[in-house]
Amino acid sequence: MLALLVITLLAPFVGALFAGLTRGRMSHFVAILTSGITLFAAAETVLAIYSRAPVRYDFLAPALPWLSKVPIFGLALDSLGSVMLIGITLIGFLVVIYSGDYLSARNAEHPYHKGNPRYFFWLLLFIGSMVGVALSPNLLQMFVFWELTTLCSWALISHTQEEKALRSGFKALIMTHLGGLAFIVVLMLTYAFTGSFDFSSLGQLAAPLKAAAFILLLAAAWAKSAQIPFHTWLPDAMEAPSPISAYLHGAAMVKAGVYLIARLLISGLNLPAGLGLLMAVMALLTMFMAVLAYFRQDDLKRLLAYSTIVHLSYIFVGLSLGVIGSTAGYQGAVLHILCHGAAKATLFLCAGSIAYSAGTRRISDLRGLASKRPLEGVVYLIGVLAVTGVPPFAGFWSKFLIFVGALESPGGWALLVLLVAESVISFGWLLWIGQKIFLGKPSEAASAAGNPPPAMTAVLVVGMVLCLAMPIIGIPLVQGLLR
Amino acid sequence: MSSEQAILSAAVVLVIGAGVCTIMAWRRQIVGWLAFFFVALASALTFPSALYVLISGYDIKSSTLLTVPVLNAQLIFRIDALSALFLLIIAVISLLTTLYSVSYMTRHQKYHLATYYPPLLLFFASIIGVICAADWFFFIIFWELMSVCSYALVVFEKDNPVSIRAGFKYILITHAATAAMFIAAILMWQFGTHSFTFESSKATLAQLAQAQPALTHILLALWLIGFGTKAGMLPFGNWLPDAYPAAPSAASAAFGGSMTKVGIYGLLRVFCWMLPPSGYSETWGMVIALLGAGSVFVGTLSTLPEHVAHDDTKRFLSFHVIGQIGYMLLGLGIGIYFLNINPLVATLALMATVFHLVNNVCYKSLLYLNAGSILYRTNTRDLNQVSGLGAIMPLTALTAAVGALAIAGMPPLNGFASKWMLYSVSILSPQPMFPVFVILGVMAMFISLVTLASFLKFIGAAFLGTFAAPKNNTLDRGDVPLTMQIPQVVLAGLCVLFGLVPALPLFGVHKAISAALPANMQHNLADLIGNAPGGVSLMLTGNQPTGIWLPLIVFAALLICIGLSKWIYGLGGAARRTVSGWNCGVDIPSELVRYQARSFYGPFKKAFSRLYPMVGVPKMGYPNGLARLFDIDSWLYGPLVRFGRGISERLSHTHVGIPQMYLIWQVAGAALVLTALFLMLK
Repeated sequence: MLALLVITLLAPFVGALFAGLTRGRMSHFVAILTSGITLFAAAETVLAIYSRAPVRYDFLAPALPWLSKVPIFGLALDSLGSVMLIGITLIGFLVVIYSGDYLSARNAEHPYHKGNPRYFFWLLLFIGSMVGVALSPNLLQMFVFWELTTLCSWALISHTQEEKALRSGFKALIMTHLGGLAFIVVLMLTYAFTGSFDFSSLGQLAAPLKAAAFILLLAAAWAKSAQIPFHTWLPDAMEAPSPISAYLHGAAMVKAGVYLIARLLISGLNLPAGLGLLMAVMALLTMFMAVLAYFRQDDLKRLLAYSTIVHLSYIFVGLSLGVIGSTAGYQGAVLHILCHGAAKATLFLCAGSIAYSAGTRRISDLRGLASKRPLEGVVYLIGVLAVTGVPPFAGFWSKFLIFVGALESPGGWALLVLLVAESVISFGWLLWIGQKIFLGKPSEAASAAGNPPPAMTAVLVVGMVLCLAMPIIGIPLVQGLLR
Repeated sequence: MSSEQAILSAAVVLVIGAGVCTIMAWRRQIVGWLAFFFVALASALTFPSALYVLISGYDIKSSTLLTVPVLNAQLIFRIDALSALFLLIIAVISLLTTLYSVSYMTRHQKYHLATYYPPLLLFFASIIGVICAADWFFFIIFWELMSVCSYALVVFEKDNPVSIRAGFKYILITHAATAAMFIAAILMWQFGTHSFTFESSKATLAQLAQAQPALTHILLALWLIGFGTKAGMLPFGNWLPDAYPAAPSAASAAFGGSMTKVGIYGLLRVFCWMLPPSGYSETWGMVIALLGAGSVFVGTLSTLPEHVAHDDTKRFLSFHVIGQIGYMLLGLGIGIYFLNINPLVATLALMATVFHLVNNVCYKSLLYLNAGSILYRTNTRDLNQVSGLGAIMPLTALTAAVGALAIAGMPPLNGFASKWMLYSVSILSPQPMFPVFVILGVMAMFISLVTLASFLKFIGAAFLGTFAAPKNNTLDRGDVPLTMQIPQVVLAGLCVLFGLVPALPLFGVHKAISAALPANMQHNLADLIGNAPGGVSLMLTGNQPTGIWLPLIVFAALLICIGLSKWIYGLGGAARRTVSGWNCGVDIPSELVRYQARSFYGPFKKAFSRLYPMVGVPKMGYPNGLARLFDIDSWLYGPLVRFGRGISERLSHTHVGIPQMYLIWQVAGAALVLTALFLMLK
């Protein structure tokens, strides 16, 4: 078990090194190989978690005498971590496969002529650092990987090195790093007061200090997960190549924030309900801000980015219900990490294919694309159904649990109505945009659209299947949580 | 194979069929027959099993096929007589519409058939799921699958902006309605035993009805919205006249024959089967009856005015769907109202409702197919462009006449029998304080006249008169292909059969209604409709028949009268002459003086124009202030960053590069530190 966990964690880092050193298609091959190994090892460990108790290995660092009493490095995996791990490695693998063909000179939107080794270096590093976040047994280690993901996202968002991309990458770096500062304050607090970095050590703090520490971590998570008031970096991050956006939204980066909070909630913190209320209010504020922003977007990827913000708010709502005491709400939130991940990654990869073949992602330039690219039309439709929670697709199951959780909580009535209203609005608008893009008389860009390479379409089909199958993987993992 | 296995495998066969049709869709000639093969197989599996369940009255339950652990949702299929009746309808309608599609779809050469047959088959499969599911969670899953598949069919003509808008409106409105059902299901889960099964819902509802009246009313309202929207009930049926005509005609027939009826199924399931007879039944029965009467009035009268998209046949039929659903809702509401007061009247009202539903399935699907045949042969849905088609397609004309007379309630066809029962129940039943049902019943009766009038327009304009082909289109003589004729003939035959022998369908309807009602409210069929051979004698008061309808005798009398008139006509021996129309001595082309569809009912049109409140998608601007408020960058981070840069720039002025300046800074700093030390040590 330990060996598998070590492979899961180290394979992407080793792969990053080799991918960075090799040239041309070789680096793509190395990337596929190592991310495949990571996926395989992760799947093996998660399969073991299905049937067995969580595992945890802690290591001391005798070489650092001032820290020798406290385990600062280790590997831990439980069902919550498994949910993350599955998303990270599975979507990571798909994104790596997709990227090879996407980053070619034939890309109609933005031809990529060089820089593939650099790209795969950072992408694998991204996968590795996200695996690190998921496997961290304590706050310190998580912080290290947390900041590493920030770095990777900076490098990948500004991959094209154009003016706008550089600005967006820098913005993402600064804003999420500011959240990281809040994180580091909490690290110092817990170590100073409890002498430990363990997640549960937060619970040993005095009540006001605990609340302060939690709010600071919440701020870190808000920055990472693009919630009000730190949400502005995410729509700008759409300058990244589409597969990177898919990964950023589907499994990595933004999911780290919600994962941190989910992790804290099962670490025995006994948080006061007021904090749950704070989370819920901020989440709802973010959600409706983002929904209202839908109507102004003309860039397909920006629209999808706002949809991601909405769904991260969903997860925060579910988590806040967990703070208030609802098991179902918490489970729904964790399941939504996975289900939304599959759906949103599929949608972004689909947007990538559209951009690749039609050369634009402007909604107003795209009409009647289904006549040329029917597959993308179906994928988009399925993705929308999954992301807005139409039964029986992925999002339905997790949203349903969150709705149940809302009703379990006091005053959940109003919450339920708000959430359902959001679902209907999102569904309507995303479908409307889909109709605009795919149906009707083909526009100039649409009739000139070429065919994306088979590897990309194959990944789209797999994503489509995941939109249906994700709950089957996820539900057994979440059902034991918080019981 | 047991019955539930047969029906489940029918659904599986349809899903497999959808897959196969997707793969084979590029073979245009084969895929239609392939789809028909799978549908026929599914129907062959469904029909006998459903018939068996209906006749025997068993309540068959499958084992739990799937459990969702965290939610305690269970995939259970349960088939009682009520479900069985609807399964029979699906089996027949799916078979006929798919058979019709085989030839009909050849007119859509432009579009790929992978977007037609697979969703159609999945649509039938999901309806089977909806009708058999005994768990709200999976019910909603199948329900939404049904919506998505039908949406795919509505937007079949994917470069036609009208279809696209209609499809969007349809899916959005019904999705919102599903959300209402969804909330109801979660409420039941939360306030009950944390289970979604219908049985536990029944128990929970009985409990809530005692303990929490407000919540019960909210639940019932949510269900009414959810099911009523799908059924096209006023005012939630706004999407229907747009969406149904947009789909290919065979799909429209399938929608009209099954999807709207599933809404009625849901209402029966909730308001009769689940809700215990109580004061709630009275309240909501009255609400449903009023909404139904409203639908009858508005839906039917909307078919007369001009603005119904230039006398578009299918749009015209779609408004009649709303009107006809109104009749059913009226009967349903009366039935639910009387559940707690007078079970006998309630049972009769519900039977009339479901009987009307069965009849409606026959003639509504038939009329959509007729409209499809006109479209197939003439390429137009505009009634003004065609005339005298009876001359070239006599069979379609004949079946359309049967359908039109049936929907208008002409004896001895089936529409009359069920409408007669509905009128009798609403007018002759013991009334509440204010005779509201009498008023509604009389109103519905007069609206029936409007139905007749509007169908006279349909028949008159399309099939009668002198033959005229649409512009730029020459028509050769000949009816539609055989595969399109058979479904029309079968449906027309059913209209006649159910009209002549109403006792036959009423037998099944009685079984279905008995399954939906509590055990202490069962009545023998003979106590309800008497023993008249083939006919119906209504026993509204319990012992004395309040009315008798013997269609066979009436039919015989009609035949005798026709024979007599023929004989008398023959006796006169008048010669027949064929002359052209006299236009006051002026030679005018006949199409100019033709009595067109738009010529009908001028005063009516003026009086009732814009009756149905049609809501377009409103155009809205995005408020500028809101956009700026959300752009936090522009008013928070941007200024902050500029502020920070300003400060650092100002600070950078200290770096002047002159050593003397730095020395001065150092001296000043040292002085500051010394002062501080001095102050602290003092």
